[in-house]
Amino acid sequence: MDYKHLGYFVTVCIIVFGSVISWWLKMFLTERKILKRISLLEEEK
Amino acid sequence: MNSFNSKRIPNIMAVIIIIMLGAGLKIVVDYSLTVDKEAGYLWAQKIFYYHVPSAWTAFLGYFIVMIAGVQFLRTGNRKWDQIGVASAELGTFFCLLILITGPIWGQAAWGQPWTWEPRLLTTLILFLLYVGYFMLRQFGGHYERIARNSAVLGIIAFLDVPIVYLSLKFWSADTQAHPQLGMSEQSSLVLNVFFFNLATFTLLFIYMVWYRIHILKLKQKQLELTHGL
Repeated sequence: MDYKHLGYFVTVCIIVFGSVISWWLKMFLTERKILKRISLLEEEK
Repeated sequence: MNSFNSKRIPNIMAVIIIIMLGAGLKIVVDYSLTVDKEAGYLWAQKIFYYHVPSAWTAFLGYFIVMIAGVQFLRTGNRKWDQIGVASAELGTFFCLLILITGPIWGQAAWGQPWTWEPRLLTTLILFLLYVGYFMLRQFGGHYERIARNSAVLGIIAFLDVPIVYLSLKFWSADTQAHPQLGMSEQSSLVLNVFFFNLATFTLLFIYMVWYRIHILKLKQKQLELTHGL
Protein backbone atom coordinates (compact mmCIF):
# COMPACT_ATOMS: atom_id res chain seq x y z
CA MET A 1 0.00 0.00 0.00
CA ASP A 2 1.33 3.39 -1.01
CA TYR A 3 0.33 5.45 2.02
CA LYS A 4 1.76 8.73 0.71
CA HIS A 5 -0.42 8.64 -2.38
CA LEU A 6 -3.38 7.35 -0.38
CA GLY A 7 -2.91 10.48 1.74
CA TYR A 8 -3.16 12.68 -1.37
CA PHE A 9 -6.41 10.99 -2.37
CA VAL A 10 -7.91 11.25 1.13
CA THR A 11 -6.94 14.96 1.27
CA VAL A 12 -8.73 15.61 -2.02
CA CYS A 13 -11.85 13.75 -0.80
CA ILE A 14 -11.89 15.80 2.42
CA ILE A 15 -11.48 19.05 0.46
CA VAL A 16 -14.18 18.21 -2.14
CA PHE A 17 -16.79 16.78 0.24
CA GLY A 18 -15.94 19.25 3.01
CA SER A 19 -16.31 22.29 0.77
CA VAL A 20 -19.65 21.09 -0.63
CA ILE A 21 -21.00 20.44 2.89
CA SER A 22 -19.70 23.83 4.11
CA TRP A 23 -21.29 25.58 1.14
CA TRP A 24 -24.66 23.89 1.83
CA LEU A 25 -24.47 24.79 5.51
CA LYS A 26 -23.70 28.42 4.68
CA MET A 27 -26.66 28.58 2.28
CA PHE A 28 -28.94 26.91 4.83
CA LEU A 29 -28.02 29.43 7.56
CA THR A 30 -28.24 32.41 5.18
CA GLU A 31 -31.65 31.29 3.99
CA ARG A 32 -32.91 30.88 7.56
CA LYS A 33 -31.66 34.35 8.49
CA ILE A 34 -33.32 36.00 5.48
CA LEU A 35 -36.61 34.14 6.02
CA LYS A 36 -36.69 35.35 9.63
CA ARG A 37 -36.09 38.96 8.52
CA ILE A 38 -38.77 38.69 5.84
CA SER A 39 -41.35 37.39 8.30
CA LEU A 40 -40.46 40.22 10.73
CA LEU A 41 -40.79 42.82 7.98
CA GLU A 42 -44.14 41.34 6.90
CA GLU A 43 -45.38 41.42 10.50
CA GLU A 44 -44.39 45.10 10.77
CA LYS A 45 -46.45 45.86 7.68
CA MET B 1 -41.67 32.34 0.09
CA ASN B 2 -40.91 28.90 1.51
CA SER B 3 -37.62 27.39 2.51
CA PHE B 4 -35.78 25.66 -0.32
CA ASN B 5 -35.52 22.51 1.78
CA SER B 6 -39.27 22.31 2.27
CA LYS B 7 -39.81 21.84 -1.46
CA ARG B 8 -40.25 18.32 -2.71
CA ILE B 9 -38.11 18.21 -5.87
CA PRO B 10 -34.94 19.76 -4.31
CA ASN B 11 -35.25 17.30 -1.43
CA ILE B 12 -35.50 14.32 -3.77
CA MET B 13 -32.60 15.74 -5.77
CA ALA B 14 -30.50 16.16 -2.62
CA VAL B 15 -31.11 12.54 -1.59
CA ILE B 16 -30.17 11.30 -5.09
CA ILE B 17 -26.98 13.42 -5.04
CA ILE B 18 -25.94 12.14 -1.59
CA ILE B 19 -26.49 8.53 -2.73
CA MET B 20 -24.58 9.16 -5.98
CA LEU B 21 -21.66 10.88 -4.16
CA GLY B 22 -21.44 7.98 -1.70
CA ALA B 23 -21.72 5.34 -4.43
CA GLY B 24 -19.19 7.26 -6.56
CA LEU B 25 -16.68 7.31 -3.71
CA LYS B 26 -17.18 3.59 -3.12
CA ILE B 27 -16.69 2.80 -6.82
CA VAL B 28 -13.63 5.05 -7.08
CA VAL B 29 -12.02 3.49 -3.99
CA ASP B 30 -12.87 -0.14 -4.75
CA TYR B 31 -13.12 -0.61 -8.48
CA SER B 32 -11.65 2.22 -10.49
CA LEU B 33 -8.40 1.74 -12.33
CA THR B 34 -5.96 4.56 -12.60
CA VAL B 35 -5.78 6.60 -15.76
CA ASP B 36 -2.05 6.61 -16.20
CA LYS B 37 -0.80 3.04 -16.41
CA GLU B 38 2.82 4.14 -16.33
CA ALA B 39 2.23 5.68 -12.91
CA GLY B 40 1.77 2.19 -11.53
CA TYR B 41 -1.84 2.38 -10.41
CA LEU B 42 -1.12 4.84 -7.65
CA TRP B 43 -3.84 6.04 -5.33
CA ALA B 44 -3.18 9.63 -6.27
CA GLN B 45 -4.38 8.86 -9.78
CA LYS B 46 -7.88 8.43 -8.35
CA ILE B 47 -7.87 12.20 -7.70
CA PHE B 48 -8.60 12.42 -11.43
CA TYR B 49 -12.18 11.23 -10.77
CA TYR B 50 -12.85 14.39 -8.74
CA HIS B 51 -10.51 16.83 -10.44
CA VAL B 52 -11.87 16.49 -13.98
CA PRO B 53 -15.60 16.53 -13.04
CA SER B 54 -14.82 19.72 -11.04
CA ALA B 55 -13.31 21.21 -14.20
CA TRP B 56 -16.29 20.17 -16.31
CA THR B 57 -18.69 21.71 -13.76
CA ALA B 58 -16.70 24.96 -13.58
CA PHE B 59 -16.74 25.27 -17.38
CA LEU B 60 -20.46 24.49 -17.44
CA GLY B 61 -20.99 27.25 -14.87
CA TYR B 62 -19.05 29.76 -16.93
CA PHE B 63 -20.94 28.72 -20.06
CA ILE B 64 -24.22 29.49 -18.27
CA VAL B 65 -22.77 32.86 -17.15
CA MET B 66 -22.11 33.67 -20.79
CA ILE B 67 -25.62 32.61 -21.92
CA ALA B 68 -27.21 34.52 -19.00
CA GLY B 69 -25.09 37.56 -19.87
CA VAL B 70 -26.28 37.55 -23.49
CA GLN B 71 -29.90 37.09 -22.41
CA PHE B 72 -29.64 39.86 -19.82
CA LEU B 73 -28.23 42.31 -22.36
CA ARG B 74 -30.97 41.30 -24.80
CA THR B 75 -33.97 41.37 -22.47
CA GLY B 76 -32.85 43.33 -19.37
CA ASN B 77 -34.70 40.78 -17.25
CA ARG B 78 -33.33 40.57 -13.67
CA LYS B 79 -33.89 36.79 -13.67
CA TRP B 80 -30.96 36.35 -16.08
CA ASP B 81 -28.71 38.43 -13.87
CA GLN B 82 -29.53 36.18 -10.91
CA ILE B 83 -28.83 33.05 -13.00
CA GLY B 84 -25.52 34.61 -14.12
CA VAL B 85 -24.41 35.50 -10.59
CA ALA B 86 -25.35 32.08 -9.18
CA SER B 87 -23.54 30.28 -12.02
CA ALA B 88 -20.47 32.53 -11.71
CA GLU B 89 -20.25 31.87 -7.98
CA LEU B 90 -20.51 28.12 -8.40
CA GLY B 91 -18.25 28.06 -11.45
CA THR B 92 -15.63 29.81 -9.34
CA PHE B 93 -16.29 27.44 -6.44
CA PHE B 94 -15.49 24.49 -8.70
CA CYS B 95 -12.62 26.36 -10.37
CA LEU B 96 -11.07 26.80 -6.93
CA LEU B 97 -11.46 23.05 -6.40
CA ILE B 98 -9.56 22.49 -9.68
CA LEU B 99 -6.76 24.78 -8.49
CA ILE B 100 -6.53 22.94 -5.15
CA THR B 101 -6.90 19.32 -6.30
CA GLY B 102 -4.72 19.82 -9.41
CA PRO B 103 -1.51 20.67 -7.52
CA ILE B 104 -2.12 17.74 -5.13
CA TRP B 105 -2.30 15.43 -8.15
CA GLY B 106 0.67 17.24 -9.71
CA GLN B 107 2.78 16.65 -6.60
CA ALA B 108 2.19 12.91 -6.95
CA ALA B 109 2.37 12.67 -10.75
CA TRP B 110 5.04 15.27 -11.60
CA GLY B 111 6.87 15.60 -8.31
CA GLN B 112 5.94 19.29 -8.06
CA PRO B 113 2.59 20.95 -7.38
CA TRP B 114 2.78 23.73 -9.95
CA THR B 115 4.54 24.48 -13.20
CA TRP B 116 4.02 27.53 -15.35
CA GLU B 117 2.67 25.65 -18.32
CA PRO B 118 -0.34 26.57 -20.53
CA ARG B 119 -3.15 24.50 -18.95
CA LEU B 120 -2.38 25.61 -15.42
CA LEU B 121 -1.70 29.19 -16.36
CA THR B 122 -4.90 29.63 -18.41
CA THR B 123 -6.94 28.03 -15.59
CA LEU B 124 -5.42 30.46 -13.09
CA ILE B 125 -6.22 33.36 -15.45
CA LEU B 126 -9.81 32.08 -15.72
CA PHE B 127 -10.11 32.03 -11.93
CA LEU B 128 -8.67 35.55 -11.64
CA LEU B 129 -11.04 36.85 -14.34
CA TYR B 130 -13.97 35.73 -12.21
CA VAL B 131 -12.41 37.20 -9.08
CA GLY B 132 -12.53 40.44 -11.09
CA TYR B 133 -16.18 39.69 -11.92
CA PHE B 134 -17.04 39.56 -8.20
CA MET B 135 -15.04 42.70 -7.46
CA LEU B 136 -17.02 44.45 -10.17
CA ARG B 137 -20.27 43.25 -8.63
CA GLN B 138 -19.16 44.44 -5.22
CA PHE B 139 -17.85 47.88 -6.17
CA GLY B 140 -19.37 48.58 -9.60
CA GLY B 141 -21.89 51.31 -8.69
CA HIS B 142 -25.68 51.09 -8.91
CA TYR B 143 -27.50 47.88 -9.76
CA GLU B 144 -28.27 48.43 -13.46
CA ARG B 145 -24.68 49.37 -14.17
CA ILE B 146 -23.30 46.40 -12.20
CA ALA B 147 -25.65 43.95 -13.95
CA ARG B 148 -24.83 45.28 -17.42
CA ASN B 149 -21.06 45.44 -16.92
CA SER B 150 -20.84 42.04 -15.25
CA ALA B 151 -22.89 40.50 -18.09
CA VAL B 152 -20.33 41.87 -20.56
CA LEU B 153 -17.41 40.67 -18.42
CA GLY B 154 -19.03 37.22 -18.09
CA ILE B 155 -19.24 36.94 -21.89
CA ILE B 156 -15.63 38.08 -22.42
CA ALA B 157 -14.24 35.90 -19.60
CA PHE B 158 -15.84 32.82 -21.14
CA LEU B 159 -13.45 33.17 -24.09
CA ASP B 160 -10.76 31.75 -21.80
CA VAL B 161 -12.64 28.45 -21.35
CA PRO B 162 -11.95 27.02 -24.85
CA ILE B 163 -8.37 28.32 -24.51
CA VAL B 164 -7.97 26.28 -21.28
CA TYR B 165 -9.32 23.18 -23.02
CA LEU B 166 -7.30 23.59 -26.20
CA SER B 167 -4.14 24.85 -24.50
CA LEU B 168 -2.57 21.37 -24.64
CA LYS B 169 -3.10 21.30 -28.40
CA PHE B 170 -1.75 24.80 -28.92
CA TRP B 171 1.37 24.37 -26.84
CA SER B 172 1.62 20.61 -26.30
CA ALA B 173 5.19 19.99 -27.44
CA ASP B 174 6.86 20.08 -24.05
CA THR B 175 3.94 19.92 -21.65
CA GLN B 176 3.65 17.25 -19.02
CA ALA B 177 1.06 14.48 -18.75
CA HIS B 178 -2.50 15.63 -18.18
CA PRO B 179 -5.55 13.46 -17.50
CA GLN B 180 -7.10 14.61 -20.79
CA LEU B 181 -4.27 13.05 -22.79
CA GLY B 182 -4.90 9.45 -23.81
CA MET B 183 -8.41 9.49 -22.36
CA SER B 184 -9.86 7.69 -25.38
CA GLU B 185 -7.39 4.82 -24.86
CA GLN B 186 -8.64 4.04 -21.37
CA SER B 187 -10.64 0.92 -20.52
CA SER B 188 -14.42 1.10 -20.26
CA LEU B 189 -14.10 0.64 -16.48
CA VAL B 190 -12.15 3.89 -16.19
CA LEU B 191 -14.57 5.69 -18.48
CA ASN B 192 -17.72 4.35 -16.76
CA VAL B 193 -16.54 5.49 -13.31
CA PHE B 194 -15.47 8.82 -14.79
CA PHE B 195 -18.83 9.43 -16.47
CA PHE B 196 -20.69 8.42 -13.32
CA ASN B 197 -18.84 11.07 -11.32
CA LEU B 198 -19.34 13.55 -14.14
CA ALA B 199 -23.12 12.99 -13.95
CA THR B 200 -23.03 13.32 -10.14
CA PHE B 201 -21.15 16.63 -10.27
CA THR B 202 -23.49 17.98 -12.97
CA LEU B 203 -26.52 17.13 -10.82
CA LEU B 204 -24.79 18.66 -7.79
CA PHE B 205 -24.11 21.83 -9.78
CA ILE B 206 -27.77 22.12 -10.89
CA TYR B 207 -28.91 21.69 -7.27
CA MET B 208 -26.41 24.29 -6.00
CA VAL B 209 -27.31 26.86 -8.67
CA TRP B 210 -31.01 26.34 -7.95
CA TYR B 211 -30.45 26.84 -4.21
CA ARG B 212 -28.35 29.96 -4.82
CA ILE B 213 -30.93 31.49 -7.16
CA HIS B 214 -33.60 30.82 -4.51
CA ILE B 215 -31.53 32.75 -1.95
CA LEU B 216 -30.92 35.63 -4.38
CA LYS B 217 -34.69 35.86 -4.87
CA LEU B 218 -35.20 35.89 -1.10
CA LYS B 219 -32.63 38.70 -0.78
CA GLN B 220 -34.45 40.63 -3.48
CA LYS B 221 -37.75 40.22 -1.63
CA GLN B 222 -36.14 41.31 1.63
CA LEU B 223 -34.76 44.40 -0.08
CA GLU B 224 -38.14 45.26 -1.54
CA LEU B 225 -39.82 44.91 1.86
CA THR B 226 -37.12 46.99 3.57
CA HIS B 227 -37.49 49.87 1.11
CA GLY B 228 -41.25 49.48 0.89
CA LEU B 229 -41.26 48.77 -2.84
